[in-house]
Amino acid sequence: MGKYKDCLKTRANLKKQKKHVAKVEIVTRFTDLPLDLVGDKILSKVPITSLRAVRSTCKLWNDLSREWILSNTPTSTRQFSSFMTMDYKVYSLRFHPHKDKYMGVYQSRKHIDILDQVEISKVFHCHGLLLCVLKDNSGLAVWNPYLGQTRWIEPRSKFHKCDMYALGYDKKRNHKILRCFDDYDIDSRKHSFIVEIYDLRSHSWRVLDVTSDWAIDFDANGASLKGNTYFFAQEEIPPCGDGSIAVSDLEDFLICFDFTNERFGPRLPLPFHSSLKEGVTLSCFGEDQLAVLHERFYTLETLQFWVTTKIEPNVVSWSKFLKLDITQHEGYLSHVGSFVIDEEEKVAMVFDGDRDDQPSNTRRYHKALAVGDGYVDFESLRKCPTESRPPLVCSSSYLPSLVQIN
Amino acid sequence: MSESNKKISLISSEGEAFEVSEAVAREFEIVAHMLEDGCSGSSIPITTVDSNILGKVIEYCTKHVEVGNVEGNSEKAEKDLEEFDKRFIAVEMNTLFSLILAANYLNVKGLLNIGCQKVADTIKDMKPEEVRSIFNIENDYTPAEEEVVRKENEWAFQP
Repeated sequence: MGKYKDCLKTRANLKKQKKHVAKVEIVTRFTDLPLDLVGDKILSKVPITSLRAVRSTCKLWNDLSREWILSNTPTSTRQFSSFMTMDYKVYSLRFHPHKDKYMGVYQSRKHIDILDQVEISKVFHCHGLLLCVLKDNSGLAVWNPYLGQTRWIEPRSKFHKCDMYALGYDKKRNHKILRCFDDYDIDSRKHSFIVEIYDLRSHSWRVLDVTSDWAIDFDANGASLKGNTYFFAQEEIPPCGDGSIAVSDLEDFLICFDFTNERFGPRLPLPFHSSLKEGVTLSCFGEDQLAVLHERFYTLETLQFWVTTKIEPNVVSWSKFLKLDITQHEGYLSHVGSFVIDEEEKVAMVFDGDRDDQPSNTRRYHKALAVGDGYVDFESLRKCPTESRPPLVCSSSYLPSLVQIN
Repeated sequence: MSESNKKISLISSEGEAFEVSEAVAREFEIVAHMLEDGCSGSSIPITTVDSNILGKVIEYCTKHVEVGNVEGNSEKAEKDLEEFDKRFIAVEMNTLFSLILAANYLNVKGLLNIGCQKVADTIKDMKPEEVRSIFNIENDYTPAEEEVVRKENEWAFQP
């Protein structure tokens, strides 16, 4: 908070100085504008993706931009930004409404090398922090891009390829990492669901005593909302006596991990039922809403989006957002990896999750689909020719925060 | 509406009088408050705003009052108003700053909003050096400090 006080001091001093200037000047200059106007009304309207220019202009602007970030004033701009991993690199993205009413995306020209030569397979966003999962499973990194701080986190026990991660915080704003995985004991032939939590404040891992009667697919990425993370989950497949499994249908629902009491909440209803071969993907938008995409590629070739009208760890209600027939574009998407929506314009952008692990110089670009009411538009994303991993966009839009992680 | 027939004089810093309808004058929230408190006659001095800028602010408010009074056909009217706003703030920077300052003082929220948005949009696509030169801002960073801020923002988009 020292910086904040400094900033207020700067304000007070500048106000004093300005009194002299304003009287003599006839032409109005930018420096004649009151600081409240500059900070709250002007700089706060600059999109977050252009923050660099604001912060680099002068110390005062740097301090003012911190001030409105601290006060968490929502910007009026319709653009929003996010991060994605693709080909084991992290890119920043900027989404903007297009004049023809669909959503466009700008991908940063270069991947971000602030995390140096490390290869990253996934990023998760919560409260201005990004959790980066290293490709080689040797560790995790928590990164505050705004402050340029990075913290490396070592595993309690070796990380696995099939680990599931989420980033959240409790009511006291302690930031925590959730790790879940299925452990298989060869001797007893028993599966167990292990849930661990890492507290950024105490720098330590703890194993939680959690049992569950449902399963989260290891590839199903959660979406963090107000500190808690929501997952798509299905009823656990009951073990059969002879070892065979015959399941044609499973109950599906959402499950929330509450980072305050460190427990999973009750089953929350989805507005549809998905069959086993259909895909369900989650994404956050705005401050506190969740969107879910139900893809029915195998039966009907439709994409159906729903948004929450209310969501808490133990209650949810839904409304329809967009339904799209993509029969004509059959084969373009293999399956949805991630998506973002713009509620006001009723548009969405869907990122293909086609996992082709064989690098090839001739292979086509990774794909994204801008969709709206009755139209589909294609976007190609830049790709790296040597490594192939489909794009995975953070499930919520990025807003900088001043959360210290070091 | 009978009140819209009532005229009020707004006096600029040079002493020039601008006669406007009460409905237009009420768009200036500061004036609206004075009228409600009953602490003003039919002529109100706006001592901190010069004639040129006061004239412009009145033009803005007059247009918005006119459009506000049109019933039906609202979509077209709204579009026109949007166009008007766009043209209205397509002025040189110093005039824009004066308009913002006046709108802030007179509390004309719509004008303040579009003025500030215009400045923000200008900053958005610029490099820090360009921002400094256009807004007359001194670079008070040492090269080392500037490097730190640059590093912190490496992920951000370059214009």
